Amino acid sequence: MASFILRRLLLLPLIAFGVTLLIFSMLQLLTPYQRLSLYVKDSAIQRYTPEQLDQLITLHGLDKPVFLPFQFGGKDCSGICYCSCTPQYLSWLGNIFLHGNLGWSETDKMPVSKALLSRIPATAELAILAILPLIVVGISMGIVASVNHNKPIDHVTRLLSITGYAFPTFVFGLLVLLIFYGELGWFPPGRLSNWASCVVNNDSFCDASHVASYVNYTGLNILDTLLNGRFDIFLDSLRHLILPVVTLSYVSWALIVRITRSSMLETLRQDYVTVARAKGQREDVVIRRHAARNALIPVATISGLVFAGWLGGVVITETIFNYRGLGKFAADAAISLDIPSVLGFTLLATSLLVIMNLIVDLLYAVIDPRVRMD
Amino acid sequence: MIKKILRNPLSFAGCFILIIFSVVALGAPFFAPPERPCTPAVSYWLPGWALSAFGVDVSNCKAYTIPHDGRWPDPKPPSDTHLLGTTAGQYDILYGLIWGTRTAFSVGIVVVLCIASLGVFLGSVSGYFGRWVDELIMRVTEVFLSFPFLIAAIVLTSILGKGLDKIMIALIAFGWPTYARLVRGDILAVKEREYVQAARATGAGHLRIIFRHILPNTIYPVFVLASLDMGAIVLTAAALSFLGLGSEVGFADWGQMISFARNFITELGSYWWTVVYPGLAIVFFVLGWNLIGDAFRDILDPRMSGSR
Repeated sequence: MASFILRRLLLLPLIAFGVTLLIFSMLQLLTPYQRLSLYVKDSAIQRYTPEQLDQLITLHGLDKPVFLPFQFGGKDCSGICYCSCTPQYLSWLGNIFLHGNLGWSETDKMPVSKALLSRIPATAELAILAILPLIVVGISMGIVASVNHNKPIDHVTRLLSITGYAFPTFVFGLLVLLIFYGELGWFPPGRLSNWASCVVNNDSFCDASHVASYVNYTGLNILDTLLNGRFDIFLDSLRHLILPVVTLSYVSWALIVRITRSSMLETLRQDYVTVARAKGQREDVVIRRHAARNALIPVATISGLVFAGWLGGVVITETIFNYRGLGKFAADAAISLDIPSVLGFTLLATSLLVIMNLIVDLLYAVIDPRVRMD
Repeated sequence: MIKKILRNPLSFAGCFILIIFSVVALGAPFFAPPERPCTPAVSYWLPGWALSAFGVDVSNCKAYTIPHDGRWPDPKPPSDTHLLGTTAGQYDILYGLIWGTRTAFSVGIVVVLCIASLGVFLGSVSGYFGRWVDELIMRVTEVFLSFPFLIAAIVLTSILGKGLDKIMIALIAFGWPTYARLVRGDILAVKEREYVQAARATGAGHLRIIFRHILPNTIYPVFVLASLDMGAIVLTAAALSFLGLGSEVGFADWGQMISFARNFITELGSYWWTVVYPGLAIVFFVLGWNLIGDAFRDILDPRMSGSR
């Protein structure tokens, strides 16, 4: 078991290496000048002569293929580049290993590591709130549908889940925003209302009575507000969370219902279910104890997939609701080709994915004793 | 098989939806004739690059450009002249939806054909030859799979420059790994069967064994995945267009039409038609392919027979 976990964790750096190398290889499609422009401050580049630009390109090895070594830039804060200019793969790696520095995020105007850390709580909040109703409602609806196989409730569930599967996140998000914000004005976009974010950020421009009385313990607004005893902000943060949570979970909900239903249908035809019934076991016990337990094994696998889907789902969801989390960060960075930020996000996402898949595999062994880890 | 599809109400609905979309796509020049008719008429039916290869001048054909009635920034509600209303910049929504159907079909078909053949090729090579070939291809596949798909597509599209063609390239570049992994697994299960050994014993070459003996027995899951992907790919392309990476404003593309809505999110309630109509088009298109894909899966996966 321990060696299995260790082996999987050792795979992580390899995958991270591959993924980041892939990003740098994609950058090779740009000309050296275009690549340089991704790293140079806009105002500074105006003053440069073509010769100076060429010098910069040679200095950072931008005219070389991605796998070739180059002169190591190190901590270049000379005002030409964004702080720690690392346009080549090895300089980027070196900067991480030698200085523990992921580079400068132009999207958030702060170091990438700090930007990621500041964005994680917002997305975590979203994911935590989305996963529970998703699994509870999704699994129970799947079970209900399979037990009432080919009855109206089964057809309705199937139709709902197939429609959910076809609904693009951005169309669904815009539609709920149109109804619940545009028409009814109940749930606004963003993460907090202005007055609330004033308090949470201890903004000095705000009403002085609030300033410095609020402590950010975890960064999760729903938790911190309760710890600070600010019930009004708690409600405000919930008001902003409801639509993104619903949007994020709807699409994955459809998937969970589908898998649970088809897996239950298969299990219900197994001999041991018939045996349990023949022994005179009550139907609800048969379903709960004998069928559902075994049917949920594939659902565990799928939840890993759902998680992977969320890495993309949050990108769209957060963009629509203007919710400042990791997804919006990634989208903004990727669109404006803010490469250090993209790299930072990708490293985080890949690690999460690998670890999540590992957890799912371990869970698999716990649920199903027939699975052996070797 | 066709009988089976038509007997199930859900897959029948799927067929029906797709037939309607096909009729709209094929009849686009009749349903929504462009302001200036394209000459020669053949340019309605073949892609521009193919025609210019034969020396036909298609520069005057602007069928995919949505006509706009003035440049007023606020969308106008459905009326007699614009049955489904106009978007910001007065682009006619109905025209965009009709020609956008063609865009959706061509994006779906081209991308899925490319990723499926690339994936099937790499997957079968990997599964059939095994050892270091397998190891190499599968590690690369793993890297591609652990890259968040949407972010990867956004980065590659922005690097290539914006546009629908760039989106398609990005989707092809990152879409093949699922197929490769699927095909490889199936080939591993089949390649030691007796009929493969028999083929090998008769002296058949590797290519012949793969394409004549192994692939025909492992290709069905690919069809299922491909039909589901037709919807998913169009959806992702629309999402990328929505994020502002699509073609220039006014190109008949559903995602691009919805992306206008991002500019007036606070007033969405008063401009509902700009989101609802293109949104419905995307939802039904994806729904159609999903229903068909589901039906394929039920029919081709014998384990599920009798459960429906």
